[in-house]
Amino acid sequence: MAEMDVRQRGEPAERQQGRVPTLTPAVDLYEDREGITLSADMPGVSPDGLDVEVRNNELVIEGAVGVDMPEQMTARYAELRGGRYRRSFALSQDVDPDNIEASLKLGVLTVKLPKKAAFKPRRIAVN
Amino acid sequence: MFEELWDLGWPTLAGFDRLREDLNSLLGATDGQGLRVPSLGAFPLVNVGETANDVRVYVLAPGLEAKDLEIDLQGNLLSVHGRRGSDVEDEEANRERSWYRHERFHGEFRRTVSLPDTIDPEQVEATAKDGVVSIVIAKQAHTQPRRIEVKPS
Repeated sequence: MAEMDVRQRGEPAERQQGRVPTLTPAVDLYEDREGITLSADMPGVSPDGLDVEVRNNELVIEGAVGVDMPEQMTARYAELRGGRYRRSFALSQDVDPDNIEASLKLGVLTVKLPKKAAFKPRRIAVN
Repeated sequence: MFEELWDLGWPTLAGFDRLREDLNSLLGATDGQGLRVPSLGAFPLVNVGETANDVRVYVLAPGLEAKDLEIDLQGNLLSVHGRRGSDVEDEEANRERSWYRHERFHGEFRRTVSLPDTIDPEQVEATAKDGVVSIVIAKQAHTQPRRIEVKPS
């Protein structure tokens, strides 16, 4: 399992010159007391090809499909057609962008977005 | 009775309904498909490629390792069978969770792909990396291209 650095940027990313068809990865997304957990299916992506960023209150996950294939191969049947995964989510104010953690294992990206302390549910004692 | 509700008399939206129907038939055709063709959202996705010497099947099964999959080859039918769990199955932890999206497939799956007759079922190798299982099946020797040497006279 590889731990990733999540980068934060203020400026938008540069557009790629040759546009590769992008795939939208399927995600599971849930919230509990501690924060939000996101899992994304990105088969074929290794840590080198993965990019997880927070910019302008948006979480962007991108990954390049890097499967070893022989050059002289023709496609007979293809259900996955594309070389790149991409999906983005708007982050709400309760998310702590400085402590987001991402890890990649067997082509599944897991991103943990902790909540800022002030937003975690607190039980209120009743006298 | 429901047919009468189809046209609710909103003139600005009538064109969009027709557009949606046309796009559905263009892009989402469900009639006339082969029996083994999966519907949208099948898991795992499969790509098949062919070289001069072999046929390669790529099974995209994120979260699964080689030991989680059963791969069978019978004649020219390749079958992949397995099970993928999900965070939603952890009942105790799940009580505290609000689920917003649950798009990833979980459960048991079986995919069958029919391969060309030129394959040699005795020569199969599978490797797994980053959630992709690559299965290479060599073609029968006599079907592989052979260069014929022309001897100078």
